[in-house]
Amino acid sequence: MDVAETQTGVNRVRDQLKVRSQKLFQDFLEEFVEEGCNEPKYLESAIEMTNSERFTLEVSFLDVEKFNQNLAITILEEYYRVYPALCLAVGNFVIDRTEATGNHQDYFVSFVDVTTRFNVRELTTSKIGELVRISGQVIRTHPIHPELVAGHFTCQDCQTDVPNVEQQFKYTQPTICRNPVCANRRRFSLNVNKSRFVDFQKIRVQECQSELPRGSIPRSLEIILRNENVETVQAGDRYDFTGTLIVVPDVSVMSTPSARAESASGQKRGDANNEGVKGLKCLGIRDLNYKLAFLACSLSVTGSRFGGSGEIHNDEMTVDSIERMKRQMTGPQWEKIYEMNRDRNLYQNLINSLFPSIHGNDQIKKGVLLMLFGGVPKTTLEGTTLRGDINCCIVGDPSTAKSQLLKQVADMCPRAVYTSGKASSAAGLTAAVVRDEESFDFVIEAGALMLADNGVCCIDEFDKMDPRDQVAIHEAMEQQTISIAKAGVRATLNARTSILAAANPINGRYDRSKSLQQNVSLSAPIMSRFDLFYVLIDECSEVVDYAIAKTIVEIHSNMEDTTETLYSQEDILTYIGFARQFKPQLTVEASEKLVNAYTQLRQRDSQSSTKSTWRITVRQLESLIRLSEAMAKMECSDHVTPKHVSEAFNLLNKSIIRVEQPDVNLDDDEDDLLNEIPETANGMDVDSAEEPDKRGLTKKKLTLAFDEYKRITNMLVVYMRSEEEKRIAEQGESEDGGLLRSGIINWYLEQIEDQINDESELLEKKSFIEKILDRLIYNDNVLIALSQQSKSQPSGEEQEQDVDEDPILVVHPNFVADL
Amino acid sequence: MDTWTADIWNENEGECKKTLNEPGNWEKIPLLFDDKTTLGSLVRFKGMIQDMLNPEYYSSSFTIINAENEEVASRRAKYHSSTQNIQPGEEVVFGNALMERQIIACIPIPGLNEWAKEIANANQNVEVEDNTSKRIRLDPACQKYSKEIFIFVYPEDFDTNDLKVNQIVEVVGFLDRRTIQEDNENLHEQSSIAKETHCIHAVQLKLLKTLISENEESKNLIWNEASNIHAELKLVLTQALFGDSLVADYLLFYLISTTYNRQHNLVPGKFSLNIRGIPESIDKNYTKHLYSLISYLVVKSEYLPIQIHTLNNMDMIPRKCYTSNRLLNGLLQLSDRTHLVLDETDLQPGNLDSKGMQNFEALKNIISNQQMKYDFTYYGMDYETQIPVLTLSIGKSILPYDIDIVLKPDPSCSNVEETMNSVHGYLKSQLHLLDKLRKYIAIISTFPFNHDEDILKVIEHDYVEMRKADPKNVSGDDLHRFMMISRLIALCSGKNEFNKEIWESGKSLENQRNLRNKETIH
Repeated sequence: MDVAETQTGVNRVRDQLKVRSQKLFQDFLEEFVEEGCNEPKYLESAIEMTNSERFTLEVSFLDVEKFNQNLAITILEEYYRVYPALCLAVGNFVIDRTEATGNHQDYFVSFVDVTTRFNVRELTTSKIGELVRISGQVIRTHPIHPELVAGHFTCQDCQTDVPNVEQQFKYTQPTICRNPVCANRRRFSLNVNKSRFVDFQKIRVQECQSELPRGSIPRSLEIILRNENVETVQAGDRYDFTGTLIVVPDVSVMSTPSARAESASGQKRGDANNEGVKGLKCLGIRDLNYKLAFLACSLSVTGSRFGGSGEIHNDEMTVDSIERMKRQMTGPQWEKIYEMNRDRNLYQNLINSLFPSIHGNDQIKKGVLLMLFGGVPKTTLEGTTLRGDINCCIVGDPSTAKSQLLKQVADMCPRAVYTSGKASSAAGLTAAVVRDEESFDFVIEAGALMLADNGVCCIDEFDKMDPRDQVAIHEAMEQQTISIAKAGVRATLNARTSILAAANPINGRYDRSKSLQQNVSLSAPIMSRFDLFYVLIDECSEVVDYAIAKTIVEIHSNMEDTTETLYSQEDILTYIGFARQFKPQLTVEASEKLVNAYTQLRQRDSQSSTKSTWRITVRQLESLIRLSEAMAKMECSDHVTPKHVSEAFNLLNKSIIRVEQPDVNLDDDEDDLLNEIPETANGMDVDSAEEPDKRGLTKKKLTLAFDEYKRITNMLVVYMRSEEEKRIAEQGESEDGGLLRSGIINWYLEQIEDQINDESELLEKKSFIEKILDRLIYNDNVLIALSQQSKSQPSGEEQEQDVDEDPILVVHPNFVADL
Repeated sequence: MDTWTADIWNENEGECKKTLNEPGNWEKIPLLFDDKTTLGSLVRFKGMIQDMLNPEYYSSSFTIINAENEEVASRRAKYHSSTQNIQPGEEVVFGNALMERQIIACIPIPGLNEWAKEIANANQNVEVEDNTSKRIRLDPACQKYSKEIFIFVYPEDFDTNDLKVNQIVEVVGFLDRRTIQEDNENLHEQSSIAKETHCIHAVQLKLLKTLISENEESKNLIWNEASNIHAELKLVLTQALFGDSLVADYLLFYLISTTYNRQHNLVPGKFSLNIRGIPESIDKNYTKHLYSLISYLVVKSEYLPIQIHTLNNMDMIPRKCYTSNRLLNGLLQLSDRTHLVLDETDLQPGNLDSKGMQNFEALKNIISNQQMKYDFTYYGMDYETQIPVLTLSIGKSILPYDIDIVLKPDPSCSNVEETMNSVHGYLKSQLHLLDKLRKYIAIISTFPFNHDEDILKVIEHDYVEMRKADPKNVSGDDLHRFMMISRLIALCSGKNEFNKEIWESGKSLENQRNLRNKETIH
């Protein structure tokens, strides 16, 4: 042993940079005090570390930057070179300041919060040895191995111990025995007990989907994890890794000292193969190839862009996540977000930039935009979760750009699924090809549906979906979970997803004379789970047609994308991702406003409907809250203000108006808005919670709420039918089985006798019932007027000018009264 | 040029480049098509980019020091993957500057039809003459022309950002042989020699759009003769379709169509055709005969019977294998304008399993969006495709389509074998015409097309009128179709812009088709 002592330290050039860095870093650990504290920040972590028998001290790089800019730069640029010195500094610090015992070399440093982040693709040779942060998706993990970091060798010739032989990714024996008289260069044995090992794991990460240039294959990179970092990642997850690039030879390289010489800049290339010596490939031929690997010192789950996994941490302080988002962004990105946030016309600009190729339909676009922002998920004291996701459904005629809208959303959001209800993409489930009995065409039967957690699920042809899947969706929409029963195993999976559905009307086209319920084959419970419901009707309007023609012609004739948008899609996604981090809270004023809006809706609802089925339910209140929160998020605001509530109210109002039956206007020839086409009472489902009538009751006397209209219709029809039956029973014949119009009016007036107080009211009611009858005859074809002259022609049109006559009225044979 | 080596190129780069790009010289470089070519020599290769591997790094230079005579030789490492013939006593010192090179994996062009291959090989035979002096290295691992070849692309020579998967490249470079392994985990378990594959250090690389030689003169010839060739082609197709000239029109459009834009999920120009009503009564092999005619005319094509077991068992979707860290090829990984013919006539009822379902979805996605999701296990990644799809079916196709048409064969021609043989016979007897037809199909739709503002106004107006007349049956999709058909009609006969007549004839053709389809429903 003694003979060897003299040898140590000789021939070693001390790296001045290392020495200086070590000293500075130790100073940093000793002296860095955060504002408002007395103790050095890292003393506490060091004590905690030793208590829990960990050996890696996590240091925020931001703190280093604050403490000493030069040190920070040195670490950034010469990370690989100074790393051992930094670890030594940690070792000294820990051993000096805590009760920890042990070797200085047992301690490691790991940096977090390194500002700049790179893609796998951006890592070039110029980054070798620098401290960088990269993000990637883990695609493969290898088993953990012990890695020899410092070998303790024994010379087989003279039994001299050679301790602490530093190992660099390969098994390295001492070059020569420490004993000056012993010339042994080859024969050493490793003393396993005295050598130091660390845990070592290799993983492979791949470029993230969203960062990949179009048409390229994602690149991958091998990452080396050590110590406490091992076994912390799972394949499929996205992580940020902080560390440095090193170079490893691709295949075996003859071990010659010169090939591994340190380069002039002093950067030590991560030399040799991490697999150990593979032997000679061929004498006289030496490969010239290297691959890069990444030596990670710390890792963290990648913060969410839009659709990322960030929202899993619900309890996390929003400020933290916003700060984290900010740090992950590049300067220009941040500026763009700032600029967008200050845009007064942001709402409109966003929807214009998001769907440039879809003409009009601003309300729907607004709804979809808010859906992307989402509300705030909450957990009640009892532990029930309330969803924050906004669900949206579009019902409409074919070729009204529904699918295009859905596809665009699916295309845009990284975690979106686009599926068609008819043949939804089945993950591990089967589908059948069957032959249609009648046409002998082959059709494919639906498989099950795949839902993306924390994403958007776009379902086209929602109405054609298998009822079983609809049930699953039902669960997903409210409980945010999905249950799968397969092969006797029942699993409940998280499905925190927003649903954007599109459905076709039952007969291919939306029949305005029918209710929404009758137009779409969706069950009421499912319908009630959509926050927003839109009806797209293929209007035949010249202006719209021209605009559509122009868009199509342009797409065919121009090779370049001519649609100019204020913001790029990339910017919008970043913005949405950022804005989604906010968890706005209701202000007192906003709450009041919400209460008002809700009661307003409810009151109109109960007023307009004589039957006390209420249509505005708590669900709508929840929707209102979610939409308001989404509005607030869009403005990156921490509070929901009355302004947001009123915009949300507008949106909800408009969405429902398109669906509900508007007031029946009995004043003829008044062309109302396109969508406010009166409905007949034809079999409307009264139990539906979907047709809230909140247009307010009669502003003009001669408009009446749809429900009232329906009620009167039913009353009349029932009366007429029963009269008819009576007469058939009495006389045995039904051909003249109608009632005189005047008779019906009189009967009606008798029925409401108790409501009439004076003569003017009587007259009013009389004209009222007359108008209703006219409407039933000429507009809705519920009643048929048989003129006394030509009984065989039960056509309403012929009678158009015959109002003065008193025709016989019969109920249309196909009309089904809905009671 | 056939004596050039990487070292010579490195030293006289400018001069060599100039020589290579002199007219005619490029074609003189021997095409690599078997393993007899000497390593280190300059070769040419055409193939499709199948996968893009991680980049590799190399020290740009190294020095060989001979310990005995103290001689120092400095070498450049570009276009080399190893140092060769180091003598005992010589030592290699690597330089410090690390350079990057991209590795792309290329495969022979999928779906390339025999006649197109023959043309390529014919070139080759002329060139191979006097390399008897060179040592031929035979390798048992590579008896046949290797399926896959790796190409090193040097970013300083060629902008690697332009490289996309499924592109066809033609590359000239120095042949080499070595192991390329993406994941070196299991390396020691296998003999590294067995894994050695050919690779080429590219000195120049071209992205090819069509495989037909694109010289101006022959292009102009085709363009000027377009309407004649069109008539001939239609005649041939009409005959093959038993005298149905309407279907022949549409089949012709299918053959020549190209997508010409891609915006907001719309791909104008995509032309997926469904010919249905293939009579069951006639020969079962009719669809195969029809395909063989198509493959005789187009450069690249692929035939795929749609049956339950093909859907359930075939690897259609490229899949990333994380063990080898490579993208595994799928049948549907096809380069642009590979005509895909799907034959549904033999479909029987049955169950699709999950793989069948995925394959089915992939086909649907190609037809409706010209996109394909490659399977990366943890997520799917969309890649743009340009694969015109023709489905042949008895009833309505199970797959989506842009345009469908019912075949109405002339009852007088019933012998499939005879009809098709006569068509083939005709083409074989008219080699000059055949050559023109092939070129026509390959390039006619790539000519630039102009849109006159006035006619566009007319079209817009026309559409609005059509909507007014029949709002239920006219939609934006019809306008898309009309525009596309009219454009094809114009290009077919060598016109590069719309006029009113063409627009009207496009509309009338579509009306005929709709009428035909309606008729046959009853």
